[in-house]
Formats: sequence, structure tokens, C-alpha cells
Amino acid sequence: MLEIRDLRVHIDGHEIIHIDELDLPAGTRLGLVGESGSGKTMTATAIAGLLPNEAKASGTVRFDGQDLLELNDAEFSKIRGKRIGFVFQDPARALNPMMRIGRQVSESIRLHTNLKRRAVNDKVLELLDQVQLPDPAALVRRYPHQLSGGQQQRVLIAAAIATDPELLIADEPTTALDVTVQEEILQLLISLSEQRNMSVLFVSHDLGVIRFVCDRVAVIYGGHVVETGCVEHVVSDPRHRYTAALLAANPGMPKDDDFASFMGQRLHTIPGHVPAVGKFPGGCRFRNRCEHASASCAEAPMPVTLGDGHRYSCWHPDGES
Amino acid sequence: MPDTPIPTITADTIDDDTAIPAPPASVWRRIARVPITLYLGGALVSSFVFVALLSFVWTPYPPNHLNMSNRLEPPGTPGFLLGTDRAGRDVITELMLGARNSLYVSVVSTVVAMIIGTSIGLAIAGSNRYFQGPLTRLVDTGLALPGILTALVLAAKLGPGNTTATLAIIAWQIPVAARVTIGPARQVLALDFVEAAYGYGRRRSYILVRHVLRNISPLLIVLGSVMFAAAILIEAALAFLGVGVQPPTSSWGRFLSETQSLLEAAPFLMFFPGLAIVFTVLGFNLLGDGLRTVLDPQQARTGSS
Amino acid sequence: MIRYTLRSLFSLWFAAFVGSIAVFALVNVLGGDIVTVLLGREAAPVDVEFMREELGLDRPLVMQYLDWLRGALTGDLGTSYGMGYDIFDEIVRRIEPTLMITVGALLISVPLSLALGTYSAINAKKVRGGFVDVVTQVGIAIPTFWAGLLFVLLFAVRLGWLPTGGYVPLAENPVGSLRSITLPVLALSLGVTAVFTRYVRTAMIDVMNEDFIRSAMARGRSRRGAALVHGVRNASIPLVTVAALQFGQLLAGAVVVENVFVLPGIGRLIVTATLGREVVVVQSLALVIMLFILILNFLVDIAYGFLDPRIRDKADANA
Repeated sequence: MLEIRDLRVHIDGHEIIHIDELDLPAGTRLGLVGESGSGKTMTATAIAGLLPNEAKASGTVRFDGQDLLELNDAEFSKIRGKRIGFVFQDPARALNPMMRIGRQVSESIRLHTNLKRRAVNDKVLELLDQVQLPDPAALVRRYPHQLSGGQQQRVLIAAAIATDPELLIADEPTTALDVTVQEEILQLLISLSEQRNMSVLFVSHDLGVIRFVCDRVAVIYGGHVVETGCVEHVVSDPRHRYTAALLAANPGMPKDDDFASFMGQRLHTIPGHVPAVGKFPGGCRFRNRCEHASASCAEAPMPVTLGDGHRYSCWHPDGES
Repeated sequence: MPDTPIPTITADTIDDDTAIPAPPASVWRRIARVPITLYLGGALVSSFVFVALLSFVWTPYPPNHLNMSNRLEPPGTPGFLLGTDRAGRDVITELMLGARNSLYVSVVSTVVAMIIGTSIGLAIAGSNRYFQGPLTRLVDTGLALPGILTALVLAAKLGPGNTTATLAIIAWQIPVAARVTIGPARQVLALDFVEAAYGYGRRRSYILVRHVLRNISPLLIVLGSVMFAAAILIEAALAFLGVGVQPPTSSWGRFLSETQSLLEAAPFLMFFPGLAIVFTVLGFNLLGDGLRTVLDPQQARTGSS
Repeated sequence: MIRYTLRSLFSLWFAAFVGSIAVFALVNVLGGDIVTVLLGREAAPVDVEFMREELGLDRPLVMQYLDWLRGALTGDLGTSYGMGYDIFDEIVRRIEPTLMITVGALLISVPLSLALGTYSAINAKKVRGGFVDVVTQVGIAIPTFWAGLLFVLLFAVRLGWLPTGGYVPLAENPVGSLRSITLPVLALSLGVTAVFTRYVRTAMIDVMNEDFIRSAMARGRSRRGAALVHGVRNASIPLVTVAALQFGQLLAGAVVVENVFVLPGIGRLIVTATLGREVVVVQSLALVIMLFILILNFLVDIAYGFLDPRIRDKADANA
């Protein structure tokens, strides 16, 4: 349903995103994972057509057969909100503090359909109910600051799915929330996706969350997809060194409560830090932080495909090679 | 977990492509990207100061050189490039003298007001939390009252004149300087390194002066420029009303008030002092804008120009 | 909302109180004796004594202050020494022109600024947005009285469309009245619009960077649609705060404009009184003008409460 080919985003002459190939079949959930500065948010923004004016995108983003990048702003506006929904990171800031909840949830309905007021109101109540918010009738008249973080995020989600979009892009939707609330929201996203056969593009820096929610994952570093595949495959058999490093950096919990063997071990970290825009090395973008890098890494690695859509680009992958 | 050797960052692992945290953008590099407002504003302001200072040493004609046979000459008359006023005084000379007066009043009032106002602002920012609210409110009250009002009250009591005007402008600008200082000063005081300084045993006054003042000084420079502009406008308005500087001292404002009765006879006269005011004030405002862009890029990104 | 209103009301009276003390102090504490000012240096001691008694200057300052305040509330502010008019009556008589031009200027400049500023913000990166920026930058450098003179020269002297000065009361002749205030209102609006437009522009640019604007666009709104539907409402908050500060400038402009166009309003009265060294008149006039500004601020505060739901909730919660 969503096919990305050779997507490039330029800002100020620097190429910050280059995605050769990325697919999102209908009804599946794909996670985009990477550190801050990896370009995951920029990729999601580019797909939704919300890039800032200074950024220029090229390539093909085929949504249900139609190349989104070819649309001008007016045409894209018709698709955005109606067939592609977007959920932002910080719900407190993503909601207009001076507008009532009801109006914000109904905004895309009012923009894209001709429903009368009564029908719109009913739809809003129904949506609020679907995102498991209590007492929708009272909620519609409230303002965002009167809700808790979790409730605000549910409202955002309700607004995003209001017109029953085929694709929902969620950019770190739970990062700003309490851990206890996170799981509920994630569960909600999963069930909504399954009920409506809605594809989800889930952006996060947290592999654990992605593992929980998504079927497939794409690991992004420096604006490039370094590895992609089924979540379980990638997590259990990571190939690209960056993926392996990400997994290693997360200690997880000790097996069988064996804390003793756990303690005293040093946390794995990835040396150095994500370079600023334009300061990435040529060839494999990760090579200046990779312990296994060699001279051959100066040339961009060719993608290797294993079974079941598991693909990576690394000259010195982890695991059997 | 298998024993993976922990990599360390040494000189070897960092090659040319590794990004090292960039050193704070040097002031020089920023100056190279100076916005046009700074140039324009700087040029206008320097012209103004130059002309004003020059008037002490040279003017085309002596000050107050009445010349009744050459009254109301239009611009372009030989010997009087911009014409003469109703008493035959050369316009250029009058403008230069007026510049001198504006410079004097604005410098004195801005400097004094900034010193007093900033001190008050710092004191309030550093004071007990309970007092800050009401005190800030007090300053706000002062802010709401226009300078002209204070000037008129003072002039009624003390008599019109340059001194009264200057005092009035100072009285009005003090709350402005104080108010602008309070916010940023409080922000700086909330920073961690200030708490650390307290921990070392530094006294509050020391912190206020050494750390806070240093940190907000870019802001104050911008403020100064804007206050200059405001002072010039007010001085002109007061002189126009007859409440400010008195004859025989020249002032742009007073010049303008004289042109009012001459609108039919000599309409050209009113342009020159007016334009002088506009260019000078514009210059200071542009300078302030340009300075703000250079000294505090973050704020400038959302601001103008 | 009620609590918030009460709090604003309290601020109003507090500020008026402080302001009145300031004015009173300026007049009575600074400089020499009021009587000397009023009568002149060469006045005979007998007259001086008499006047001091009459004005009650031999009483303690605090008493004088309270008497003055009481007078202000009851309508007895004394008489002008030089001209003999009753101060309070004169003030009442002269309020109309001042109100007319002040309200007129507000009616024109507020909508105009909102429109120009929003337009400039939406087109911030394009030439037309920058153009507005340049124009307003020049606009704030133009002294109000000079603008007035320019308008008189053009519209009254050269074109003869409008009178050069003088005021026609509304009751007497509505059309003539409006004609007599057109140029003053235009001159006054120029300065206010220029300043306010710049603030609107900055506020809108700030707002456009907010996340909820992106949310709106993600739902299908165009940039302009998001700005108008979501942005303006939110930008009005910082604007309202700034607007309050402009009332002082507005009144100052009114004072000047009334003198340029010879309008018999409060502004002209206070200048005439100042030049005539009528300290008693000026003292009371300053109070009146100050009150006017503070009341406008109060109204703006109320509007603020209506606009931003967070403010009134917070006020109610804290009260």
C-alpha cells in the first residue's frame, strides 16, 4: 500500500534522508527505529508532506498507487487527514489549548466530508468511545489542559482516525507519557489497526516498544535504512552492526531473576555520537562508530536480502554471513 | 552474555569524519553574517552622531543667525541648500543644532534610565519570591503610564525646559528598563550554575552583577538602542508642544511646531525636521534589530528581519 | 471567570492608587511650593499666605492627598487659578473629542494590524511579507505629530477635502463631526498600527511554529487555513498583553494630535494648563488620563480572560 523508492530529502544542500526501498503492505504495522537525529521523524514527515519549506524531497512515495510527492499542496491536503492520519509526539502541544476537544476531533471530518452537524457530533462521540475515553459527551466540551496526558493522546488518536484513514503515522506517540499509560496507548493502537485494517507507520527510538506493536521494523541511521525485516527476525538475528549495537545497548531484564550475574557488567554503549547534519562519513554512514569497520566500508554497502524480506546493508554483518 | 570488548574512544577511532561538538560559534563568524539592518542602522546612527558632534565645531551659519531679508527661502536657493525658516535661519544649521540637542537628551536619559532601571530590575529579580509579584506589578503600573504625562506634570511644576524633558524621559524609561531586565534576569538566576555559585558561598549581589548582568548584556545593548529611539521621539514631541526645550536652543520638534502655521506659505519646511527624526529613529531601531540578530540568534529567528 | 474579573478589578484600583500617589508626589514634593509656581516669584507674601490657606497647603501632605482623592470621587477638583473654570466640569466637557479619536483610532488600527500582521506572518519568507516588515519599521519611526502635519498639508491645505482643525460635536452634526476627526484619527492610527502590526507578526510567526498547527495541517488544513483557524486565536494571547502597553502610547498620541488639530479635548487642556503652569489642573488631569488608561487595561484583561480558558481556570483554582 505504501511504497517508497529512492526517497531523498535535502536541506541546505545536504542530503539528510536517502531511502532506497521501503514497503508497507496494507494492514501491517511497520516500525521506524533509530536514535535521535537518525532521520526517522524527518522520513515520517516527508511521507505526510509536512516538511518545512526549506526541505526538498525527491523520489517516489507511492500511496495506493499514487505518487504523493507529485502532488501540490492543495491536492495533498485532500489526502492528508482523510486517508493518512498523523499522531504527534507531545499531545499537550499537539492540541490547540484554546479549542474544545470536540472541535479538534471533528476537524478532519468537517474538512473532508459533507456530514451535517448532528452526524459529525455522533461520529465524534463514537470515536471517543473507540479510543476508550470515559464519558465522551462531557469530554467534547472540555479543553485539552483539563485532560491527563494519556487522555490527550487518545484524543489525538481519535482525531487522526476520524475519517477512517488507510495509513496512520505515529511519531513517538508514547514518549511523552508515563510508562504505565504507555502500554494502554500502544494496545489501543494495535487494536485499532487490527479492527480497521489500518496500516501503521510507527516511529520510535525504543526497540522494545516497536517490538510490542509492530510486525515489521526498519532500522534507520543517518537517514538511511540499514536493516529491515520482521521484528522477530531482526531482533533475534540482527545483521547490521548498528542494529546489533542497539540491541546490545538495551540490557533488558536478567533471566530467572538472576541479578547476580547481571550486576557488575558494563553497559554497552555505541561509541561517539550521532554526527550533525552533513557530517556523516561517506560510504557506510555508521563506519566511524563501528568496531568492525574496515577500509572497504568507505564504499556504500550493497543490500543483502535474506529470506522473508529481511534485508540489510553491511559489509561486515553480525551473525552467520 | 558473551564478553564483548568494550570499545573506547581514542585518537585512533576518531577520524576526520567523526563529528566533534563544534566550538561555540565564534563572534567573528557571526559578524561575518551581519544582517543588512545592522549596516543600515549603523550608518544612520553614525551619521546622526557625526552631524550632532560636528555642530559643536562647525555649522554652515552661526547658530541663531537671524537673517530677516532671506526669510522662507525655498530649498535650492544659493547659500541655503535646504532653505530658511521664518526668521531667516538656515535650515541645515537648524537641523544640525537640533541633532545636537536630541543627542544630548537621548544619551543622558537613556544612560541614566538604564543604570537605574537595570539595577532595580536586577534587585527585583533577585529578591524574595514573595515580593517579586507585587514589585513586578508595581513596575508594570509605571509602564502603563506614558512618558508625556510625566513630562507634563513635571513641566507644570518645574517649568518647561530641557532638564524637565530629560527628567521626564528618565522617569518614564526606568520602568521600561526594569521590566525588560526582570524576566531574563530571573531566567538566568534559575540556571544551575547560579545555584552552584551560591554553593561556593558567593553573595547574591555578586552573582547578580557578575553572572546575571554578563548574561543579559546582549539584551541590554539591544534595549539601549531601542530606548534611544524612544527618547528622541518623546523629546521631539515635548518640544513640539512647547513643553520641552525652549528657545533659543534648537530642536527638531520645536522647528516642526513652527512650520505648522506656515503650511500654506512654506510647505517645504516641515519635511526636513520630520525626515531628520524619522531617519534617526529608524536608524536606532534598525541597529537594535541588527544587534539582536547578531547577539541572540535564537530570538531573532522568530522575530523580524 | 468571576474571580478572575475581581482580581483584575483589584489590580486596577491598586494601580490607580499607586499612580495617584506618584502624581501627587511629583507635584507636591518635587521642586518648590505650588503657590510660588501659581503666583509667580514676585508675589507678595500676603497673597502667598492667603493662597496657601485657601488651597489647604498648611495641612499635612497625607491630608491633602486624601482630600484630593475625595474630591476626585465627588466631582470637586477645585478651580483653575489662571482661567477660573471648574476643573471637574471642564474635564467632563472635554471628554468627548478625546474619546472620539481614541476609540476611532482603536477601531481602525486593531483590525488593520491583525490583518497586516497575519498576512505578513503567513508570507514571512516571501517578499510581500518582508515588505510589510519594512513599511512598519518606517511607520514606527514617524512621529505622530509629523504625520498629522503631513495629513493636514495634503488633505486640508492642498486638496481641501477635510478641515485643518477644530472639532464638531457629534450631537450637533454627525457628518461634520466625523469629518473633523478623520485626519486626527488617521494620524493617531498610523503609529499604533505600525507598532501593533509588528507584534502581531511576531506572535503569529511564533504560533505557526507550534505543534498544534502541524496537527491541523496533518488533518488536511492548508497553511493559511491552519493559521486563520488555529493560529490567530492563540496568537491573540501575547497580543492582548502587548496591546495593554499600547494604550499609554495611544493617549500620548491623543495629547499630541489634539494639539496639532486644535481639538478641545483633554489632551489640549493638559498642555494648555502645563504651559500656564496650572499645577492643580495638571495634577487632576494626569489622574484622569491615567485612570482612562488603566480602565482600558482592565477591559483588555477581561478580554484576555474570555479568550484563554487556561487563565480563568487557573485564577478560579487559585482563588
